Amino acid sequence: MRTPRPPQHIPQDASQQARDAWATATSAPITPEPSSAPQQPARSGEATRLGCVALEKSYRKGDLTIPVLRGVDLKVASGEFLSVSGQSGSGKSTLLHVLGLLDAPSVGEVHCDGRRIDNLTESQRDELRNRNFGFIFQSYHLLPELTLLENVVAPLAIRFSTLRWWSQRRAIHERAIEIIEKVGLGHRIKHRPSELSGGEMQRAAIARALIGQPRVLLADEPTGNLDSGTGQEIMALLASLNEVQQLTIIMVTHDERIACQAHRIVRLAEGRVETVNQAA
Amino acid sequence: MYKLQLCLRYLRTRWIAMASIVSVMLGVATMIVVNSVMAGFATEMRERIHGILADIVVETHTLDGDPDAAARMQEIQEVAGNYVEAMTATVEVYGMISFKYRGQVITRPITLIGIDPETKGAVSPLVTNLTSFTSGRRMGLALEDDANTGCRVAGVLSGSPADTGGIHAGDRITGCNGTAVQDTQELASRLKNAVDRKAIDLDIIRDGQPLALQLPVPRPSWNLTADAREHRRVIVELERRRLEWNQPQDIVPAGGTQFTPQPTPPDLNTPPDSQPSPLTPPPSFETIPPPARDFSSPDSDIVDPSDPLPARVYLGAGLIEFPIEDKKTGEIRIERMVLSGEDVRITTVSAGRPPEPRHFTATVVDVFKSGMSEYDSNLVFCNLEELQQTRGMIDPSTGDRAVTSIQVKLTDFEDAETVVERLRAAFPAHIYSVRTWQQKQGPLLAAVELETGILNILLFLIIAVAGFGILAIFYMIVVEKTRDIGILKALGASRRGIMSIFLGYGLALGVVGSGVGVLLGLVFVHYINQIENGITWMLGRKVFDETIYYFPEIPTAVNPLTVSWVALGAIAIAVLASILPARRAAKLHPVQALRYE
Repeated sequence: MRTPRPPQHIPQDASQQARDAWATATSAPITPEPSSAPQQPARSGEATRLGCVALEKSYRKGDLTIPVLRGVDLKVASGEFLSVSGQSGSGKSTLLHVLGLLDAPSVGEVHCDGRRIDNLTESQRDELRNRNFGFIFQSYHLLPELTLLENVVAPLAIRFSTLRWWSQRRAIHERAIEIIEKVGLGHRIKHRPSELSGGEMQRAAIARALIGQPRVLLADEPTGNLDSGTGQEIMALLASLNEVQQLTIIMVTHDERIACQAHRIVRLAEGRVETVNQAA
Repeated sequence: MYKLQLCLRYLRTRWIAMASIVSVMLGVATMIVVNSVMAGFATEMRERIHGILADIVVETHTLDGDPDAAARMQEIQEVAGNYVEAMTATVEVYGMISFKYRGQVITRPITLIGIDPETKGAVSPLVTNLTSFTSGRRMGLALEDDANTGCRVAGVLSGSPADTGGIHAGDRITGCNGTAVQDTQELASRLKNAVDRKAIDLDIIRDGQPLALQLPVPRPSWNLTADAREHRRVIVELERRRLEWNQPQDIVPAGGTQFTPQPTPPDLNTPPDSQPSPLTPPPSFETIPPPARDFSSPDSDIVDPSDPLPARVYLGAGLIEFPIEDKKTGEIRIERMVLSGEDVRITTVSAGRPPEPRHFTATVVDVFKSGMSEYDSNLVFCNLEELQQTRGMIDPSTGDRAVTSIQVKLTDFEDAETVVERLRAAFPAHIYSVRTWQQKQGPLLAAVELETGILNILLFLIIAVAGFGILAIFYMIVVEKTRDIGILKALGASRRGIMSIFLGYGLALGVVGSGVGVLLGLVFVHYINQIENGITWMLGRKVFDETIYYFPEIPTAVNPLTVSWVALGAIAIAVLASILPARRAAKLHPVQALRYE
């Protein structure tokens, strides 16, 4: 079930434009890999980047079925910075996982750019995760064996075959270094994650999320493990990404003060949307 | 791309994986070493068996033999002539040998083979098995070891092949047929391997100058070597003196003296004409004057008593040798009970019904050492004519000589099956059996093959154990890497991709492990004799005793096919062992994996 959308006529996808501008700023363009995933956007003038309808998710634990999400409807506009807050166990992380195709909903649909994406085949969802979404996690989740640079380029390493990677490694590395410098880690390129501070690791994670030029950035408690000062820096980085590049961001947090920095705050309670607030 | 990168990174950073690599490596190295040594032994053994037997043997079932050997050989020539390179007729029969050793009479069961050295030598290597050849004596060389490497030529018999070949006393032989030799033992083994050679190449150092000389390979014959002849002459002389010493006793005309015990004859080394005295040392053989003609009885003018008897034999070394341990030094040396030039008594059965025992005395011409203890402790080669004569195998009316077997050498052993087929068709099976040497030694060769097979299975189990090690370690790594797998999935890695990381990891372990293992194994095989020497030196006792195994050094044969199979098998096991952990990794749910701490 989808509510009819008001006809909006934005001549071009604004965030797409911004992203393209950002991409062309890089010294060497990377030829896109032909994609087997559904081509989006399907319809022009679609402003809802990511949305879900009547989303339910429950886990089975033995004979018990534990509901986590009990019918969540959500729409995230293109270029929007949305935060999802709520108590522990309210289902906010699960919502993020389902939206980011890390998990499949029990009931309901997930849409991206006007196309249903939760019922795609596994390989299509893998590819969509790689191209459409950038993930940021509370505990950074960098690969400990790889250097910062290698961590950052990991999404592209996954996207490209060895041969393609080899032919484009120079362009990829240049872009990666550019992004790393943008997040302020230019001096840490050869370091291992274990040699970085929390804030640096989160910046590296953001750089990694950005390298694949995603349509949506999904952040799960990005400041949860950081002190408030560093957290604020990360938030500022996210806000500027949203502002400058019109990147759609969905951020899960339990911290009200952090949540307030988004455009819109969705509060979840017991698996349902409690309130939707426009941020000040 | 990330698969390869992560694979290699894990390989480099997971030290626990080294345990898997080491276990694969050890397994592979062990298999290669054991296989090479087994193959070396088997090859050597086959060569030795082949050296005694011919390619194909046509035998009669009866010991009476086939009455007309020439006709049979003609038939073989007609049936399979274009495959045959050489043929020899032999008589094989059972018998006994008895000889005196330190006052005892020693009797041994033997297989007596009547051969013609010329044709037998054309069918299978004969002269290279004779100790007079491998010791250099038959070429007229007297060799000795000293502190320096190489064998010193102590003396050269004038007029001998060595002399005409240009070897001088005092030369040092440092190489033979292109291989360096350290001592007489090594030279002997090089000479023994000089099968199918027309000439022997010797590297010699004379007065500090290197020199390359060539000696012809002597033809096998029933002639005594100069040493054996000299030895025989001395024995005959001693015997004559012993008889002479006994002579006066016989002359004493006292009734019943024949029945009284005779006085003990003096020690053979003591000259009979001088009283045994501690001051006079027993003269060495050389000082005994040659027997003068006039000592002989008138009718022995025709025959020199020191001439060898008409019946001559080559004795298997195992029949007359035994190792003896020196009580003081603990060194093992070989005691030889009969020397070339001495006489032995041989008993066998006559042809015809009923078989009757026949005795004859034969002069030992040479001692052969094929290296197959089964042969060396059983076979006695005798001249064919004498054996046929003794056993009554010569038809008095026609002069046809009977033989029990005809040995055939083929130009190419590949054709053996065809030739055997043809001969079997031509010769009735109830009279003749036609077999290749392999078929004749079938059970032994089969046993060796079975042994190798079982050993291989057992050793492969070692690698399988290493495989389980990989399985366990990989499971651990997957558990350890659960979160990383979740991250990779979040970044868009597919199930297949995750799986191939771990399969590739297993493959890499297998490749590295078996690669290093192959290297280690080959190096070990290459230096196995040096390693054996090292162990001998450390333990203070011989690990690989030449007197027991008959090999001067551990024989090895590296079969590239076996090596590659072992390596491939190890790699396959490593990959197989990583399938289960890889599947587990691929199946991990991304959210659960990410939550895993």
